[in-house]
Amino acid sequence: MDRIKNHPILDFEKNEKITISFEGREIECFRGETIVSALSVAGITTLRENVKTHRPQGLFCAIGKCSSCLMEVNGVPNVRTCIVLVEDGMTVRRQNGKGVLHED
Amino acid sequence: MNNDIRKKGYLHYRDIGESRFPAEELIKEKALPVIECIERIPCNPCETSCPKGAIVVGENINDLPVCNYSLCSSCGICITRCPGLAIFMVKLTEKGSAVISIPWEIYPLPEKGDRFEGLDRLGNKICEGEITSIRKINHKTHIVSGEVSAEFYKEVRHFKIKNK
Amino acid sequence: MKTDSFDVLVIGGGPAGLCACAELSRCGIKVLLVDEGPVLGGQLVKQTHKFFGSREHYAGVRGIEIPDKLQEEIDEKLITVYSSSTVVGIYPPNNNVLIYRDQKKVEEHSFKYIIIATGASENMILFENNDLPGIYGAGAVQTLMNQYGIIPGKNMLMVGAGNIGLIVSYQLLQAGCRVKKLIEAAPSIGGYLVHASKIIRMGIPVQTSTTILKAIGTEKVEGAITVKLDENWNQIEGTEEEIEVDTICLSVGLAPSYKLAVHAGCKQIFIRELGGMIPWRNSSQETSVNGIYIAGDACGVEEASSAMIEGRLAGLNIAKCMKRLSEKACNEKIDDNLISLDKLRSGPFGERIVEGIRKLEGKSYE
Ligand SMILES: Cc1cc2nc3c(=O)[nH]c(=O)nc-3n(C[C@H](O)[C@H](O)[C@H](O)COP(=O)(O)OP(=O)(O)OC[C@H]3O[C@@H](n4cnc5c(N)ncnc54)[C@H](O)[C@@H]3O)c2cc1C
Ligand code: FES
Repeated sequence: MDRIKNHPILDFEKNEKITISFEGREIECFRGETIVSALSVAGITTLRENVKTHRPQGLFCAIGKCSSCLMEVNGVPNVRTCIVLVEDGMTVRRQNGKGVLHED
Repeated sequence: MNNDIRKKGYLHYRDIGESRFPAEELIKEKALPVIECIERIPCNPCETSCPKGAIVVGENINDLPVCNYSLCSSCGICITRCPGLAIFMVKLTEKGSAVISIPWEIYPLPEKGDRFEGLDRLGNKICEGEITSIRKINHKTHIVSGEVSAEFYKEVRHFKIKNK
Repeated sequence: MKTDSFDVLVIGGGPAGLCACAELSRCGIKVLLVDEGPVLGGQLVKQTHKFFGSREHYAGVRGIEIPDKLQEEIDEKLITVYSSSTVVGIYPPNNNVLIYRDQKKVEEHSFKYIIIATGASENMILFENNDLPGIYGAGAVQTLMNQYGIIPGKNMLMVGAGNIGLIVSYQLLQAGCRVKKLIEAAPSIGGYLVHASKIIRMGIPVQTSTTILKAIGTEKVEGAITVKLDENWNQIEGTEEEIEVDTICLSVGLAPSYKLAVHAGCKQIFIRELGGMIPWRNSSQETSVNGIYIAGDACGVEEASSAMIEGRLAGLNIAKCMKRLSEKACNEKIDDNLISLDKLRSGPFGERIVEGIRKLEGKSYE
């Protein structure tokens, strides 16, 4: 997906550029946007695999209500990536099923 | 309001009713609004934004607006304030054309002299015309005026700008 | 547990929550406002169109501009905001509350008064492959394009011709997307005619009595199959049509989000007109649990204008209980707000809500 270049009503201010990693791949994005929006621009639509059906799942509600976007962020599973903002150096992974709890 | 309109979702000018169009003698004199608001919904910015008090919704906010054309100064503010983008302004010229002013919230804003296809309420091309003026408004609902042959003044409601 | 210096917790910073904060802070009451989004405003932050309603409720103003106007009404010294934070549980009788602060750590607080203003969530409909990536709720499409400036798809199929489907179709045109078709299962459009008119004259075809049968694709949406429905909503064989789209946008209604109220033990009742199961409440917006109030879409899907008034009512009624304003002054303000609500709901589109409220008031929750 592309970013909107010209909009008749809205101006999109771009914040500082930062980088997150998705499955080891570096993705450039802007501070202030959600993980899902950064991934969408990079063309990533499959966020996790369904617990039961193992089918690919993507964004659905984008306001934290449906759990369709749960991913593993900095090693923590079940993060609602549609409401969590990107941070420089963040690592994001697709989640399979329920995800795994890592001990620290 | 008849159910047929809700089925198709758009208005024909006959649905709007002759009484909602200003008389032709009047629009030869000055540009006047055609308020294509025929459904009772809770809304009144046309009334509260008119500097001349020409548009009245009244005590019940669901009532339909009525314009007193003799008070109207053709300022066009109502075009930009109607949340439904349902107010248009029409003027008949001496040379047999009509200037139609429509609300515009799409990128890019046309330029004076641009040629366009005149679209009717169903989005069908019915004629061609030329943009005559653009009024940029700071709250970003601009007013774009285009000239078409007079016979289309009741029908053209969008301008599809041709590639230059 | 934290010892709390807040008098009231407001959950959700949409129009309902912000208006509740405005009334509370005007009465000198200290509030903690928690919202799980990164910015305040709820659904308003993505509404680029000008709102309907009356001028007192910001009609004619674009939705995106309303949160700032509401925040001007709030005394900042009295309100503490936790954004990007989620309320995850309410435990009566002391109303202990768990807050997942910054989506990182859990905090516990307790409050005498709580206002739940958590809004609504989008409905899903059944069709083959409806879980494929590229099928979004209309709210998600709006969030992507209007909040984060991302083109959600090049070619869209919009499902549902209520106000949201119609408005989001227009917003898609503004963002430079192509809406190939808008389909609606009912025989007629559900939203305002003016919203339908503006997309139809710009060339979006609207097809009523039509539904979606299947999404095509394996990893993501590549197309869709639609089918016509007869008067009895049965599919008409042979009317299937394949359409090539990369995104399917569902705007098939909203349901109140009130899980927290259930968790707190608030009694629920079923009222179809207000969006299905909802927590019972009285005309002061108080639920069956003492001190817990609810306002806005969370207690019946309606409009921002009515959500604002309900938020104000909840705030004023709490101020009254706390005796922070004279009973007379409170009652006057409450009456003014009740009158505004009646006016808003007096048209044909308000009939459903009025009927729902009538049923609600006629029923106790047992
Ligand atoms: C496309 C579209 C067009 C619309 N057009 C109009 C219009 O023209 N006029 C009009 O009056 N209305 C309109 N509306 C309706 C209006 O936006 C909503 O009715 C209104 O926003 C409801 O307000 P609310 O405060 O109840 O909920 P919301 O605005 O949904 O706010 C709820 C808030 O609660 C937060 N929240 C939820 N759960 C939690 C939790 N557990 N912890 C912390 N925070 C939480 C959310 O993050 C959100 O910010 C439109 C809606 C849409 C989708
Ligand atoms: S997409 Fe629904 S919770 Fe994130």
